[in-house]
Amino acid sequence: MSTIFDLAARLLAYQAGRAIPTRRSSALMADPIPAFAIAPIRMVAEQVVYALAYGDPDDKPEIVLTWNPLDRDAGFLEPFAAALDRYLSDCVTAGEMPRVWLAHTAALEVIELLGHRYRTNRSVGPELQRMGAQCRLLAEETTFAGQQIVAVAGSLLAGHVATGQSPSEDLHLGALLAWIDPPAGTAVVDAAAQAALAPAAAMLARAADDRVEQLRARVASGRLREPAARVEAEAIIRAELLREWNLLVQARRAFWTLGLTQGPELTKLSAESFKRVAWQIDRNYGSPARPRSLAQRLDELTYAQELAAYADVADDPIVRATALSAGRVLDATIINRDQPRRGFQPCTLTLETCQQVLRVRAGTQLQLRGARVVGRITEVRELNAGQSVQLTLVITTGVRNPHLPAPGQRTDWMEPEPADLRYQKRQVYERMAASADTRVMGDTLPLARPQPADDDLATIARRLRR
Amino acid sequence: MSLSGARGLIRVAHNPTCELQAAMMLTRVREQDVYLALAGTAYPGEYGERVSARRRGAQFEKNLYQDGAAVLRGTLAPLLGVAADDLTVRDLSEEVRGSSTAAMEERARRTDRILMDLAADRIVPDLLIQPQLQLTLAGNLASAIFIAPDVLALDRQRHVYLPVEIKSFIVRDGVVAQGDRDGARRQAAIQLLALAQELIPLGIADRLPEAAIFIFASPFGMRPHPAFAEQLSAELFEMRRVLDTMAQVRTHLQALGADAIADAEALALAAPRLATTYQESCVAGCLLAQICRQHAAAQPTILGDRAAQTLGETIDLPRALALLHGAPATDEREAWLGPALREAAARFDWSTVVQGRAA
Repeated sequence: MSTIFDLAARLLAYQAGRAIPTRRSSALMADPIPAFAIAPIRMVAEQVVYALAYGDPDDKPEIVLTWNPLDRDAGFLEPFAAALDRYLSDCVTAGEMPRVWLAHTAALEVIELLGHRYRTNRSVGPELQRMGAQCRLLAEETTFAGQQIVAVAGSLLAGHVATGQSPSEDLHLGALLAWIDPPAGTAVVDAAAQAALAPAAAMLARAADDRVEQLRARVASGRLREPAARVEAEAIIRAELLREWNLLVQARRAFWTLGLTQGPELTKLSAESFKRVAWQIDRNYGSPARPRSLAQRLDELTYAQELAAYADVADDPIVRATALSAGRVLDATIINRDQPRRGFQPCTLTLETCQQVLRVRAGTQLQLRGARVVGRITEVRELNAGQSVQLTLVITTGVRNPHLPAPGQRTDWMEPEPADLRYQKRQVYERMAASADTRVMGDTLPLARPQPADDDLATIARRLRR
Repeated sequence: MSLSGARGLIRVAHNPTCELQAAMMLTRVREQDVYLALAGTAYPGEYGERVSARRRGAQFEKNLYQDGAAVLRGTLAPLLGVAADDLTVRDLSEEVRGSSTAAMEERARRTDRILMDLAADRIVPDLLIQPQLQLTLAGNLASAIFIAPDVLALDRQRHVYLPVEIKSFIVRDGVVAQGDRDGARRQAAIQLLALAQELIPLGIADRLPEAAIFIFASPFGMRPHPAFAEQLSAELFEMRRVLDTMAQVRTHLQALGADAIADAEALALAAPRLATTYQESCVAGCLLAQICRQHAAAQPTILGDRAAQTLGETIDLPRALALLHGAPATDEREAWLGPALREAAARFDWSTVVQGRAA
């Protein structure tokens, strides 16, 4: 979001005393039925899990917990591992996209750590190793722009609304929700400040944390019997866990009640997300570390980024308006269509625009928004002393498309859908790996050939020209 | 929670233009007491380090120091280029136990003697656990504070000690979370400044590089991640600026006749004459943030640092809203800003936004 756009949105939210939507379309496809939600509670600093609430966010959660995660017995996580595996596997087998809801990035961090700790941990059984692999898979999926599997409520909401407070304050999910749904009878700033007093970071509230620590210390020193301490500590942890679960449920509801539309390009993003997760669901892969796998990962991330940016502009009028003011979308009227034979090449359009910022030049490829009509700019001419610009666009794809625009029609043109060259690039990497070129695959660079000491730059340049 | 010590200096570094915060540190008045004096009620939220976090940190350090600091030696050996078994250790926390002022002074005396031995090329331990340094603030010896690096490690080649900062934060995929890393780097920079102050009279401060060693935890229990050294030039610059700030605030307090303040009520009375610069980062670290936010009610900074930078010091929120709604510009900045805001606002149908109360 541009600085001015963000400022205007926050000013209006400040004036209105409530959050305002900054998008009209959702960046997230509708939830499948059922979705799966996870609300964790971790031990501060140790980052080990006290408890997890999980299950259908429209239903009561299942709960697993331990009052002493420091004893390293992870057996209590097994029901969660089974439920997560069942949900993900059933979705993949049925060819349906799974959807896992988390409240905030702190919850995502806990899931990521579960992956780190258990994926290859030999002291736990295969069920927990599989849970680790699946948690890692989910955490990794969030690094792909436009991914549709993991919904982090806080980040999603912050990406769809603007509040009248600072971005740092928006990071607290409770404070953000106060702006989205301000309570009656209280100034929204006060409501947000009040909400921010309770942690929304997958951790116990301070008093609860201190009490559980105290109970454990008293058991360790023999001043309290374990069963009594355990009952009290578990009740505290359960109550705190339900607080986190309710926050997640409230945030999810808040997101869906924003009433945003579902753009058609979300389907492509979903398909990409599904492919990634379905491919890895039964594979316990580590992070890419070798040149070939790193290059492939970079391609995947780049393609996801380009596709998500394309989908945003194509689907959302506010994002598109922002792109238009930056010159990345062209708003132009068709002046002329030169197509000697209807439905066939050649087809040349003449467009005219008065838009102030224009980032097109001869050679730029443009796609008609909402249709598979793509062309290439061949000429850009200024008219009326720079008041307007006329462009010649040669249509390369879509000459038979019924949406091919006619003279007089006002049209939006944008960067074309990104080309998916990942398969071709993989073939290149295979060749490179097979050739074992040390410049790419080796750990050290080959030794430079010694140059004659009396070479000056002019001599080198002459030699290169030969 | 007092703001004295490294924690206070780091807070000042986050917002060096806030005189109230610097004054809290100089006068060693507890932050929650100042809140009580200013707000009339106790701070309703959580403050201070949690018991669980303290326990984890203490346990992580204990694990490194036990058995003749076996784990610590093993972790630092590759970095120091000396075999772990050849590293000699002195643990001042074992030699002088406790956290009383007397204990800290004794540890400081022993640290001084070791540093003198270092300057005189006598044999010194490779690892000095829990040494005690002193850092003079505002050029005033009376304001010196104790700075306790976790460990000082001897760089045998340079023949000088480097601070070792130990944190139980977890490293994942070789990466420390940005916030954890920034805090540790600033803390180490303060230790370097304190060490430099101690080495200057000994004539060996020039041996000290602008670097420190860091030990963080692996995701697996108490096991440390491999130690690493980092250059801290930026943090040192920042912390030297903090010391300048402290000197300026001391001068300002003296000018106000408030330099002898020793309690929260007196500081609260002086507060209106001290500059407070509310900014976005205050929310994350300062108990007084909500009070300052209320005082900054119409200032752009409540919409975040980015908004404050865009609007500048002359345009407050009501004026920005007026410009957004078409008020005529009175200067060049407004002439640029008004149309830009109107164009941005036109992208979403703001006329449908409920025209409710201003926040």
